[in-house]
Amino acid sequence: MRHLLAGLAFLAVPGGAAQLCAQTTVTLEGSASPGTAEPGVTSITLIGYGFPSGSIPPANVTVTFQPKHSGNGPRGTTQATSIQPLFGTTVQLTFTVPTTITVHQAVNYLVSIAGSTSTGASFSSGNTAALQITAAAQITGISPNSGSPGVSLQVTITAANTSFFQGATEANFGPGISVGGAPPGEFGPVTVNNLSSATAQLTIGIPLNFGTNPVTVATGTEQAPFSSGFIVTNFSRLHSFVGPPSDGANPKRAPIIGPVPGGGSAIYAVTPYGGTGNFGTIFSYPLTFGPNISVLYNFAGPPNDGQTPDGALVLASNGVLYGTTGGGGSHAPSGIVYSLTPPASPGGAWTENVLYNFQGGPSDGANSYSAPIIAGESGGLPILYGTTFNGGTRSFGVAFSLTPPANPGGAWTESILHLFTGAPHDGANPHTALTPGPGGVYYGTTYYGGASNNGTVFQLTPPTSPDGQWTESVLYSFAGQPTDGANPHGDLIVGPGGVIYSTTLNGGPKGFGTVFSLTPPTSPGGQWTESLLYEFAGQPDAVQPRAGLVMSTGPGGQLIFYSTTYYGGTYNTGTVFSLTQPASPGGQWTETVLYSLGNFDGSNLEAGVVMDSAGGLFGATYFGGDSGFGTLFYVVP
Amino acid sequence: MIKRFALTLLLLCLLSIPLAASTIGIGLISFDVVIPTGASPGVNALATYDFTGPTYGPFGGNSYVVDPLNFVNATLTVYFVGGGSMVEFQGEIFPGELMSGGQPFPTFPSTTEIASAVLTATLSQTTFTLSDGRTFTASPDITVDLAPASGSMLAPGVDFAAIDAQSAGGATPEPGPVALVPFGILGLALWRRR
Repeated sequence: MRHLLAGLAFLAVPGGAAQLCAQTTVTLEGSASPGTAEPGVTSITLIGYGFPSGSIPPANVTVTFQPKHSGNGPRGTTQATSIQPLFGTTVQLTFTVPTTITVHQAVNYLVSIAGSTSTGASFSSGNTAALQITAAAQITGISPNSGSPGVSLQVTITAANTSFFQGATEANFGPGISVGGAPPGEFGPVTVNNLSSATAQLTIGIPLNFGTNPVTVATGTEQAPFSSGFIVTNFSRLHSFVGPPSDGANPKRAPIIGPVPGGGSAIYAVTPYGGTGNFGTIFSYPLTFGPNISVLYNFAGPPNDGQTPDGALVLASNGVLYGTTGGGGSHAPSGIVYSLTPPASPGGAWTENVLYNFQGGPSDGANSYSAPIIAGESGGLPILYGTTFNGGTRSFGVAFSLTPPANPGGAWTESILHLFTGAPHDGANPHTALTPGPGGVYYGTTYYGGASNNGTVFQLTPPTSPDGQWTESVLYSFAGQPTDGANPHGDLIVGPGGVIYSTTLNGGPKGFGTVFSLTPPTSPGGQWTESLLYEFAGQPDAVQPRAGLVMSTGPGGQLIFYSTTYYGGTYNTGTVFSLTQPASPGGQWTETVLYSLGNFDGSNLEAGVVMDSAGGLFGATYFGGDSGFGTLFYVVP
Repeated sequence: MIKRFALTLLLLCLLSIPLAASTIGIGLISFDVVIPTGASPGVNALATYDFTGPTYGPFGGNSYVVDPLNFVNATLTVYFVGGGSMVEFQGEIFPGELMSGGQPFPTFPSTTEIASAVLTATLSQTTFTLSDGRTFTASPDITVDLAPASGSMLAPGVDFAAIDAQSAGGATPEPGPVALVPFGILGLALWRRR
């Protein structure tokens, strides 16, 4: 009787009955759900029956993992994350495989549980549930694995051990790259093909840090990295010219950057050929890097219009573009000076006006191959200065000015500033624009003439009295190959200290062209000093620069020049190169081929480049592209 | 004598009471998290189970269906918050997980807001044996409406619904445990008379 009372007293203690009982054996469903799990990622559900009554705190339940075949993987334990009573003694519990279980390939595991209720009733599973644990998710390939700035492309992502799922899986391709329309640099949606394959639509923005971008594809907490990354090249083909009648062809001059009516910015440039009559075009391309190139004007050719616009454009403060043509006009093929006025409202037509028809012959210039420059204003309109390749007394070209009419609708007035007389005392056939220098002077080059007939650098000095004459003087005559450059073909630029920089198409030790500087004399009337900063070495180096330089400044304050070449590079079809000033005086300038253009990219660069605010370079090729009519491109140094 | 007659009458009345249970658990639909939300949306699933037969039946509760039943012509329709619906599964569900029938669980991005899910099916047999020895005659059609326990949309890891077979209304030929109680009472009475 005493023992019976003691037993009853024990049963009266809360939980005492449970503690008196032996451990309860629960039965698990044979396989976990889902049947495959990535450690630290997948939420696993197990259902079992035979659990003791009462609440079961998740922290009270230990889930044990052991490889089905000993040695195939590490053992491990974790705690349940939730417990859900279902019906009767059936319970659903969830957990995540601990990240301490690291496997290099899928390994079959057996899962068991043990725990207790909140009142202390213990239980353990009498069987195990199957679960396959996978290696960490990773991207195994991206095709194509590189892209260019400013372009949109579709890439295919292949992966291992991933759980790609449409609507959940997103990808991040690093700074500056938009995935599926998401903001650049953020995760964006992809199209899932299956658990381990997806397609991503990328838009590579500008500017970017070029090289290898990190790539991560996420599905919830699953993060699959790509160790090789996505390569962003520094070159992008923006447009392949189709040629006449719908598009321009064979651009030869560097674009300029200007405003777009209604907002934004665009590059503007000419093509000497193409357009409705194949007389050349003026086009624009928005800096939004979209697919749309716009032909703003199709030249109509002689006698009422110019043809073959060979000179670059210049933008006046009134938003009007000015330029010259190498042919056409009322005295064809002498060419014209024209203006292109933006529309009054966005989307309207641009209006071209012929400002002047070159007469050619001994008293006027003909065939301008360079941009006019703006030398001042009169009545709100620019005063234009320029050169012509031909015309003049000996057909060696002229330097001219063009003054706007005093009254609207009147005729523009041309004045000859200089008639070139050729070798040996003067230059001949200027191919470049004039460049303003100190004190109202202008610098320029001639393709021929000078002491060796290899071209010159000249200076135009304004008259000292209102009715006086402009004075031309040869600052330097190129000696030509092998000791000097020959045939300057690109515009001059003036750098710090009044030093003039540009290129020669020919000359140098191998005749592949040079980059030169011309330093002003230390005292008035002294000699200018020419230095060859770089002599092009031939393929695979760049060969034959035909354009002038764009000047920039490096992080250490050193000058960096950018330009193009017609030949050379990997494919001998042209390059974009840089030339960097030495860190200390007397050192070597360093030339770098930034990009070798192949035929798809466009080939044979006559035009130079223009730098945008992000430091990228726009340029155009004379040949190549899909139709052979050249391309428009963007390259980032 | 009168007492004996009354007890006998009570016994007969109890024996004639049909089985109280009108449903029997045969499965489960559970809205679960498969991959939690992280850098991108996660993945949720409508896990669906057939808890019948000797292997899976015990998961359905204390009194379960011993005979394996298939859910024939099963259709799982999902209704989305804001309108619209989609049939996420059509086919036959066999004992065990829906996955074991050769079809994956219907899965959804965690951004998908599900208002409810409805499973309709026909049982492969309507008369079957229970674990306690009884025979259960069920209505052939099953309909399960998985609705949110709270709020307007299903919460993963929270909401689930039992799949029940409804009694066709017939009597139970085999006595249930409750029906044995009168025998106990009768036995006690006889013991006291001694």
